[in-house]
Amino acid sequence: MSPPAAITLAYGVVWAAILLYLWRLRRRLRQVEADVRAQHTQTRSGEVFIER
Amino acid sequence: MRLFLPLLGGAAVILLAAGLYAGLFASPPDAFQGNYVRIMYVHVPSAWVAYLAVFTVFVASILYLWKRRAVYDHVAHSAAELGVLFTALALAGGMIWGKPVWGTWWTWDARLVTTAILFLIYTGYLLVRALAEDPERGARLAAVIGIVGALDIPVIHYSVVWFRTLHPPASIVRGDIKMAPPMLAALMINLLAFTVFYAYLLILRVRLERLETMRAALEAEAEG
Repeated sequence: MSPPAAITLAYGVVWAAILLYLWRLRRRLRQVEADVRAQHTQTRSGEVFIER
Repeated sequence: MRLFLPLLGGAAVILLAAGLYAGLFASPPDAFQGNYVRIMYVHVPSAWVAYLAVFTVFVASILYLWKRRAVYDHVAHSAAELGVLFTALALAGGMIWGKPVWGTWWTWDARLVTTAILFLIYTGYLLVRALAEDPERGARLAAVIGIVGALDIPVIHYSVVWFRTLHPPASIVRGDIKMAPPMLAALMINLLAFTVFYAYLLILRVRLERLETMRAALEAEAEG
């Protein structure tokens, strides 16, 4: 494997994994925040939980 | 907190960009490894963050077993997930470096094997949590695994001293630096960047954990 190929592969794998993880984390956060807000409208007690 | 997290994220982005520039362009090629040394600028910080994450699990798990406060369990669980991710990345980076430099993707070398064991221990930690029928019991069992699993870190670190190994020894040992200054600078920038990014990811992941717990409580409240 030539140096450019190895470097591209290493940086590509690391950065793809990190960005995919971050994207999934943010998507799950948005989903759970929306769920807690929706629950709050039913129970009127969830407000404190989504305070940042 | 409202301002701190975006600031931390912004700092991570700037440092990671600087790290990419330093690792890919500013650092000179190594006398022996040539340009393959650039892989070290993502491999070593990944391994460092894996160490940090496991240390976080270790401390948070002890605190959880002692105080039984949910926040410590949230921190331990979140850090374990990041530990698995960054251990996998350290292994992947090392394998990609090993293929051209050692001529093989994998060898049963002490450093590689003990790192793979760390990956398996914390994957087991996540499995125990995911499969536990009683979440509290799962959290307690996972905390024990998290504490015992952390004992692998000194073994990994000193494996290059204790065993005959292919893996290069540490380049920085108690002030004795065996690296050219531009290479050291590139490594330090990347270590700092990955550390700040780890802190950012950990805070986001703990928030997710907390909100998921709250959602479950609210759902139970709404049903009951």
